Amino acid sequence: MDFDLSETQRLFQATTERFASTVDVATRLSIRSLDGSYDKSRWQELTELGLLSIGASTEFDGLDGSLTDLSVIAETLGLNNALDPWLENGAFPVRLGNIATDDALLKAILDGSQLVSVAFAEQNNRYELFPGNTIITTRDDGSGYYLNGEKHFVLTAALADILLVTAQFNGEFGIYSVAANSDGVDTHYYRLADGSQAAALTFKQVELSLDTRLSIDFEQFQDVIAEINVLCCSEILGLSQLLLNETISYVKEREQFGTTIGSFQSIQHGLVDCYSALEQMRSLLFRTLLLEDKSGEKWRANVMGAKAFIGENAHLIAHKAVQYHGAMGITDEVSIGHAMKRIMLLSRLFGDVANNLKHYARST
Amino acid sequence: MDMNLSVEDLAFKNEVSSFLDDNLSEYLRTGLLRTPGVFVEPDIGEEWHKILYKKGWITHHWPVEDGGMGWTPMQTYIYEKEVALAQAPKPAPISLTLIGPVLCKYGSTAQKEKFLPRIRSGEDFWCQGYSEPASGSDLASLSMRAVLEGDKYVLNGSKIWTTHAQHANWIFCLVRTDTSVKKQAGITFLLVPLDQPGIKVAPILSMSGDHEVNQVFFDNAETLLEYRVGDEGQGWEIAKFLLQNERGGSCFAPKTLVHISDLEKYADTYETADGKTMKNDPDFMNRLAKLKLRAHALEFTELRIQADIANGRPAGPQTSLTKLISSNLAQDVQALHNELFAYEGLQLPSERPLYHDDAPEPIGSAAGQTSLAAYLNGRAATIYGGSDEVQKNIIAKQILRL
Repeated sequence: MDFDLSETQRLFQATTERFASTVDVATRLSIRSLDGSYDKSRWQELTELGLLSIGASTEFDGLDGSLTDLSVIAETLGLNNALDPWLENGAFPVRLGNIATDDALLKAILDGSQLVSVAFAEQNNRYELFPGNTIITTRDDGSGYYLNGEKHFVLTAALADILLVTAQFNGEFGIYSVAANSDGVDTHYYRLADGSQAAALTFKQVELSLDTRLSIDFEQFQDVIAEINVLCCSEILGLSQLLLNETISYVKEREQFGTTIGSFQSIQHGLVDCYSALEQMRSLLFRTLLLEDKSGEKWRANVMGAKAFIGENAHLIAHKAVQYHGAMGITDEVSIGHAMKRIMLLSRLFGDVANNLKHYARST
Repeated sequence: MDMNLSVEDLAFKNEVSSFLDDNLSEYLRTGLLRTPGVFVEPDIGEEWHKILYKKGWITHHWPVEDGGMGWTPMQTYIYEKEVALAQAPKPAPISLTLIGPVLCKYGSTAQKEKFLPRIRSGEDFWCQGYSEPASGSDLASLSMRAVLEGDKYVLNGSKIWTTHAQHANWIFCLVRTDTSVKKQAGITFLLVPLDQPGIKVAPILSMSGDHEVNQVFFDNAETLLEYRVGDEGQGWEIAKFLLQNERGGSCFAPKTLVHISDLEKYADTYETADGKTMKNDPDFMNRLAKLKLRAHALEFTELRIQADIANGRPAGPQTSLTKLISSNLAQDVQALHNELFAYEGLQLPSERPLYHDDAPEPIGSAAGQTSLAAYLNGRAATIYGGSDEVQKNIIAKQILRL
């Protein structure tokens, strides 16, 4: 038995670390003030470093990386409090493209020329993944489709070139590739917890050609969601580790009442609770990564259980990190709040703690 | 043991609630509801301030001779509760609840005559110079210097976490006037005009995007000897008096209960995929129920303290207990509130204020738009006015005698 990283995984880790560690809080804030709240040259760099192709199949010139390989990248991004949407606009569409064996889509993603956002969430549909209000109909002459409906929580939408939109077609699940600047796409941008720009989209008679439908069914889609959920866990784990590291350093330095606050038993015990939670989170992530069958309902339930556990404990760690930083922890000037806000977003992506726990309880 | 309000108290309750009904405009209500910050924005606060001033209630809690109403503790509680139920804003709390009562108790006749009327009318807006970068929980270690030169104090150093310093024209400061004595004994309480060349106010943005707090720098700033409150070295005694008022302890529960019942209403309108509302989600409703029980218990903890005060028994360190319970409860209510709004609860607009016409349109409901910022700002509740850790130390020492 061996839980150490392989040589290759250590290489992925080092590459990610080099890429992500250059952005301090001040740089982060200035990048967030750019149009679209992100610096697209970072995306180009991330692509050139191969951080996206690791997750792609070899038939598309990828490295066919395992989920554990990708987990190493996600955790390292978390540990560095990265603002790069590698998970939501990189790994997510790449894994969808693998399954759909969509050559053109993957090529466009992997050469960094196109940024892809997946539009899967709808108002009044809470965390349900099966689309409710987005409908595909066939054009009368059979030459293509019309897309109608609405999505919200479309991540990094302001920079997206391609939207992958989930929709119902004759009551069945489908996912369609839509050029972001298509006629009939109405976009309302808004700012999210982590400072990124999302959009609420309305589709009115958007014309699509027949080849825009990805060859992917609802079962496969849910399996991809489970994979990305695992990567959420990994990034959350990295973020939680960062919070604990920063807080330990802070309480060792911060002096009140003539001594460092880290010398107080109350704070020591609180941080031991965080450490203990973090070890448990890592263990459950490893358990999930090492499950053999990574498809089907049982796998998905296990992932949801892990994500509920990891999300809940990450909130506990984040709250303690803010508390022990005192008023400084409330500001936007230290990494604490940024890490906490990203944890909130990731732990709620595709379903929050309560929702995931419910699914897990029902299926095991 | 009984819970009945006297005939007089009942009449008083009706008077307060009908006043609130008649005077609290939709604009003011919306303004407060759509403010995610800890403090009400000045334009909302000022308008409500004027209305209360006209009514004579703005400084109801002050001594009668200084403009107070002479209400009994129970009447004060009733008033606070009605205000909470009506969701009325709390105007200028730093002026009215912090510095006002300090001047009433410790101020000279000249200071009272100069400052109290301008606090009552809202002409002056005060901020609080307590914490410093190196002195938070350990407030007594503060190092900002004040040196008496003739009839003036010269001030050097800085204050931090100064709420609404960007709107204030006066600041009250704890300063060090004597470094040779025990740290508490070398502290003095000064009133300082903010508009002068030696003072610079630098904003600090919260993780919510709100600008509520600041750092204030003093570089040979000045104030007059006549603006010293009490004697040199009396600052710590005054500081403790003020902190008790900051921790309050009288009336947190009604406001929290209102937030919980709002949450219950939203839960009933918030649809899930199967067309039902979150009110049909037993897990969500169980958690809501637990919060409600905590709030009901807190209400009676507060009432028991009120009854003690009314019966001539001093409340003492109980304010630490209610501060501890209420701040943690408020945070848990905010967390569930935010969870209810699912993806919509993750929106975090940076524009302020959100109640003006040019504010960005919410995704989903207006309540969802402010939910996350309120939750993030709410994390400060267990830090300001003495952190949880400080309150627990006080309770362990002064109540449990450990």
